[in-house]
Amino acid sequence: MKRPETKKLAAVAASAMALAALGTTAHADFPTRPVTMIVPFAAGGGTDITARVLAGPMGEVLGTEVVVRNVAGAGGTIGAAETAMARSDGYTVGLMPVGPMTTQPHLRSLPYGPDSFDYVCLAYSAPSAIVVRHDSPFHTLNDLVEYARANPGELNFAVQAIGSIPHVAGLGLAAETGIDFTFIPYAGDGPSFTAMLDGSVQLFIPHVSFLRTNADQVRSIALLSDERISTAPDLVTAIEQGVDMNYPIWGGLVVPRGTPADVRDALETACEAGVNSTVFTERMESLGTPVVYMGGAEFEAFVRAEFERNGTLLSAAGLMAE
Amino acid sequence: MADLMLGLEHIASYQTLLSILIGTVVGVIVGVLPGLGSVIGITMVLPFTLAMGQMPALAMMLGVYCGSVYGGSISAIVINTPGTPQAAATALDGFPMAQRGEADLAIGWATMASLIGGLFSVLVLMLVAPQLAAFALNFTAIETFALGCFALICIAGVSQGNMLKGVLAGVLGLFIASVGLDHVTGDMRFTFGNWQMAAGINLIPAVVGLFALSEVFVRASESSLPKPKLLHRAGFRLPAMREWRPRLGLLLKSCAIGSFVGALPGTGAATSSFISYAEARRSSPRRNELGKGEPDGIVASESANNAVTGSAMVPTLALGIPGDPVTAVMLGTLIIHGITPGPRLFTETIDIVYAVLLILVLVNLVMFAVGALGSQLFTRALRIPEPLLMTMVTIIALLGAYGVRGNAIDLLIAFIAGVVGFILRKGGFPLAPLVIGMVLSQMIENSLRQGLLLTRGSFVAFLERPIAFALFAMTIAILIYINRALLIGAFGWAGRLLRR
Amino acid sequence: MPRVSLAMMIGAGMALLAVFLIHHTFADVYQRSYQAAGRGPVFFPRILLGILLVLSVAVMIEARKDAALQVSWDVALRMVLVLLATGGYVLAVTKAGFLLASIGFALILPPLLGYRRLLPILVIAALYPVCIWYLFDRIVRIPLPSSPWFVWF
Repeated sequence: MKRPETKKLAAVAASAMALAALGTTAHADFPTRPVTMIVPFAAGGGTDITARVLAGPMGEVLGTEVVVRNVAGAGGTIGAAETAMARSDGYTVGLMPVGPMTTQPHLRSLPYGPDSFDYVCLAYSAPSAIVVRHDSPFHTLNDLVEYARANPGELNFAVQAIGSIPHVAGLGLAAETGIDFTFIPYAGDGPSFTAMLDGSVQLFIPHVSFLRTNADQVRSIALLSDERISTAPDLVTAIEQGVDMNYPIWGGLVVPRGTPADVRDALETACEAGVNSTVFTERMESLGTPVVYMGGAEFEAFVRAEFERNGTLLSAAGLMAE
Repeated sequence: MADLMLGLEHIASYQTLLSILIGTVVGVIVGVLPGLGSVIGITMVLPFTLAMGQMPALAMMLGVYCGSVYGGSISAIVINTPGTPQAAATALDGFPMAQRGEADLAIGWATMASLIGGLFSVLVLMLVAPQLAAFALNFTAIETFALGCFALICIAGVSQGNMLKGVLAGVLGLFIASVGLDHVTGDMRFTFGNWQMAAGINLIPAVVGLFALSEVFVRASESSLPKPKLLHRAGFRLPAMREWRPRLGLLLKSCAIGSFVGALPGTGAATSSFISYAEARRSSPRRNELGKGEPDGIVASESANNAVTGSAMVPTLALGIPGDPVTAVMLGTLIIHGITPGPRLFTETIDIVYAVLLILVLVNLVMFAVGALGSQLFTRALRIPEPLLMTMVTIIALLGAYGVRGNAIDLLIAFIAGVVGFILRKGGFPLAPLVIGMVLSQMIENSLRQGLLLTRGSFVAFLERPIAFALFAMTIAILIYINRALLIGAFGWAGRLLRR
Repeated sequence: MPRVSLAMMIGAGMALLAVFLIHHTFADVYQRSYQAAGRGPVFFPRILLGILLVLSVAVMIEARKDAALQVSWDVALRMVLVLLATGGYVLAVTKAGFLLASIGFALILPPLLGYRRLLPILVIAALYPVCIWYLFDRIVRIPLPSSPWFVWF
């Protein structure tokens, strides 16, 4: 179980050297001091660890340190607002996940929106999945739908929060198949998982990596993605079962709007190198997800499309703020 | 036995042993410093653990965790400012002892009780972890709500002198913690349109204000400046064996309370130490001395909160469910390093579990040594002129309030909590109930409303569950017992009224 | 100064706060709530505020015979200064950064608390904030608020 530490270190050093060669291009004036990466959640969580792993190789390319700063609270919106309001000099970047970027601004009034940022890169994206207990009678979406039709009002569905992506996905599933769920908010994957183990709820929607770490106790009945993923090819998607559900959990780097283009480009170069570095791909591997990357322009279009789609879904569910 | 040897092999490296030492020292220090606690301690060592091997990383995390839970007691005793919320109950008797000039002895009680509590929970983790984890799964939202109500009784236990004011402070605490995002509906409550307030009022900034800042204000308000200095005995003194003998029952009971509460996901060291303290107040033969510097209070609080440390690993390891933010980070560390928590950990890779157990034992022993040696230093901190010491404490405490969430508004919250705490203290209101209220508020409210969703809105269905029913019945019975004088009076009065 | 006890004032303040907030729970924002199993976002707070109101009134009744609050002018002045210093420090941390604000605070608070020996104050103000800032911001990398004037702190 113990990894050979020296080998790992050597790999890091080698990739860093290769990357350093890539990074020393035009931008001699940026950066001259450490770059702060705002993570809108507490230290030690999944997003934070991913950010810290990314920060290492990014720093090597930029030739300075990338310091992770955790600004937690209110579903990530405090950190997102802090990023939006920072000086647009490129020394503050935010690793912003799907929630604070595309659902929270619809739910209530916040001092930022998709227009508050310039987009650097998408660093990771992986599907979520509908999971049930390993001894559950549901093996496919069809089992679930049939049961719900025969026993209306019985299924309990744990969600992280009202208006979160899993909740929106559940609403979509219910609408499309004509069944209903009772949504019960539990504060995150841990409590939702507890509630599933103690029999309070029958299903919830975590990140696909949850399946890997709890393989003994849970089972996926539908991967919420257009295509199967390379790292877990046996997981059946919802689309294959006739229900169109595509809810990736992603995160990417943004800077405050108005950041100089060459600075943003330098960050994008560093991000691309970071995402493809050995340590980062190892991190993705340990989560059981493929490495996914998008450049700034593509990422911006992607965020805006997600923002629009989630807004439509939330308002259809009657969840929009006035 | 072979597994135990394998576990020993896992940790028998100088990196692991060094990590235990460094982690525990860091843990005790962040615990001692008000405002800094487990969360910041873990944040501090996290970048280093990411670069470490599996066992050293785990050892450092566990060291910080256990050390910080213990460290909070020292500042609670020495300067009446609990270093962490978990030690709020320790201050109730620890500080009065220190005022008598027995700070060294109070720290001795706290350290010994922490050690025994910690080791007890290791024993629990070793012997009954899978069974305890299975039992913990009986605690759905409904049972959690019942336990929360039961735990509220502690408010009565720590409201010395004035029950009415204590209960008011407790209800205020319950309310304060409900400000911000309503988790069940996603609505903003009492934020008056301020988006920053959506993050709510976090416990750490509130505790920093209520205890550390209000202490500064209280000293400033005392008319006789400068105050005559109390004669403190510096150092560390263990209580004699004969002092322990009458307290063994209490000690065991507190360890059991801590271990049990710790194994339930979503409850923590602060809850368990309050429940245990309240139980001591109900049943100790020396209950009338509690709150005036009786070692029973320190023993109850400190053995219970450290007994949480081992048993909090029960749901984490046996089910893969973290009970609080700190065990969540530890779970993340385990997964990064390729350990998959869950039932199979106890059958297929029991050597990892043994390694964790051995680390915990070592951490507790190191913690004892750090406490014994460190308290020489901590008690001597009192020789720093008080205004200077308080300035230093204020600066570090506010840093802690900020650092927990990296959120600037938390500084303002700490300041306001300081003013409120000052006014309440001057008005004779105890502050410990306010902390209990804040600790329990979300647990009670969320589980109540989750329970109502589960039962589709029926309160009666809550009573159909045996564990919940038993807890409700115990709650009511104890409430009647506490208020028996009041009730007897009321019945007598009603009887006289009827006879007339 | 009104001739009432502090407990009476606290009771009255709490009662007013409770009444105001109970009134606030009937505001429109809470009526549009999405899902509640019949209990909206203010269900639990309303119960608490109700209890708070009853208890505040009870505290006021209990406190009616307490001795009136007496504050001497010099204590009041010192209190106001200490509160201003602490409040100002909290604001300064966000505006001028942790390091500069802490140095200022370490110079101001000890004299306000009655300590006037210059040398120890200067030593503490010069060393303590710098050490803490260096440890957190530089070594363990928990970034602290920085000032708008300098790049490093």
